[in-house]
Amino acid sequence: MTVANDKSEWDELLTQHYSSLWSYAFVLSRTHHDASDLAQETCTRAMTHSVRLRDFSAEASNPSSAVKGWLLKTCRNAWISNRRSSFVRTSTALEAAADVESLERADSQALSNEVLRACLALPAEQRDAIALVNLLGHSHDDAAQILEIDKARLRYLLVQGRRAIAKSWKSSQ
Amino acid sequence: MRQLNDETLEGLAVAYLDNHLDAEERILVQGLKTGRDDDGKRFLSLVQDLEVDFRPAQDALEGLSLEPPTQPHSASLSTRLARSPLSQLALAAVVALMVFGAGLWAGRGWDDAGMSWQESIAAYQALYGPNTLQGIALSEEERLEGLALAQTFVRFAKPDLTALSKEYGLEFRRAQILEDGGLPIAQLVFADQQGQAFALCISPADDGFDSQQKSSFLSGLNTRSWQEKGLQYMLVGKMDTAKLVTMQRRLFAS
Repeated sequence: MTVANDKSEWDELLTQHYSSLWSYAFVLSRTHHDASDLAQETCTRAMTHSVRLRDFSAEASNPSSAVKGWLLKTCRNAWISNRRSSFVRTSTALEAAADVESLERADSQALSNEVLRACLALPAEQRDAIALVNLLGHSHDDAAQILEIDKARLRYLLVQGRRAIAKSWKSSQ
Repeated sequence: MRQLNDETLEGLAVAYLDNHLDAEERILVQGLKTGRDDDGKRFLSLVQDLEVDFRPAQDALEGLSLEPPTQPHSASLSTRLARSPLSQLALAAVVALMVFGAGLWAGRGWDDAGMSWQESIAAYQALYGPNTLQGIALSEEERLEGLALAQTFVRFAKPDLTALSKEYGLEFRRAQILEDGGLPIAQLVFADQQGQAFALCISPADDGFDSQQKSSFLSGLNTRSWQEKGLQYMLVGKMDTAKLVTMQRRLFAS
């Protein structure tokens, strides 16, 4: 399957990857609202670059996986870009002065799970790596590619992340 | 005897736990698991230390996800999804983009120059219904905070936003930054007394030239757009064009 040649294929593609996209956006941003905005922004970019995305997927050995990787990488770039820029940052009146790094903003439903809570409390880089590998099931190679780092660095982040999560989980028992 | 450094052993341990060992690593790990030397003991200890069961976290995360729309139709969203109004709105926006994207993809061919920003905004704005707007309930303090925030978004344009509530009965609902073709668009959303949405949008202009004012009918909404001093503006709502023209003059009277 290439990316999408008509509306039904696009619907299928969206259905296939939207959940992962939203979950990844949630782990990055740690709020429902920001996750939805990030996912939306990613879809906007996908539409804007649809021709390029279609060509890219046509060249890939596994088009579906390639598209998913592209969406997650785009989501991550959007998140980084939004955090860096004070202007291009989605905001609402309700969150006027909020900084996305506050764990207190994380969804209460997510916080009811100890491991997910510990994941969300990790520093951004470790959280990103754990999200891709341990929460979304990407291989080390794919995750390293999405994060644009080498595999050794990815594994270092995974070790640090796992260590912090295990410590947090054990101390809560 | 120690032969492997900590970094290598940790990398192997995490790859083992994640089941992502390559062929060479698999052989190495097999030796470590069965060996009685120092490396083997350190490896097993690391595996124990780093072991975490992520399945409940995966389930919890999955439970939070918004389901993607299979039948993109904004009108049915508010009843189909028991989610927060903001989430509904965000999802509705995704749906709108999908509808437009799929249509353009299949038929007219989408490229980077696709829709104008006015068309994109109108399509997005058309998704606001009284129900979604009603859900964005703000206290008086939050409303004032929001207006202040909106003012900072549009500090270069300096519109007289209080005129919208005093003279047109519009209630501030939210302010957010959207993006179109890499350009940020500040969108200030208001609701009239019937709950219908109205928005003022401001974005940096593509070029520095002022342009003629234009009234259009897009996605079922009346719009008024113009470009001035490096910024482009758009008013969009269900009110008639003449009213939008008056509002434009009143908002930017100074």
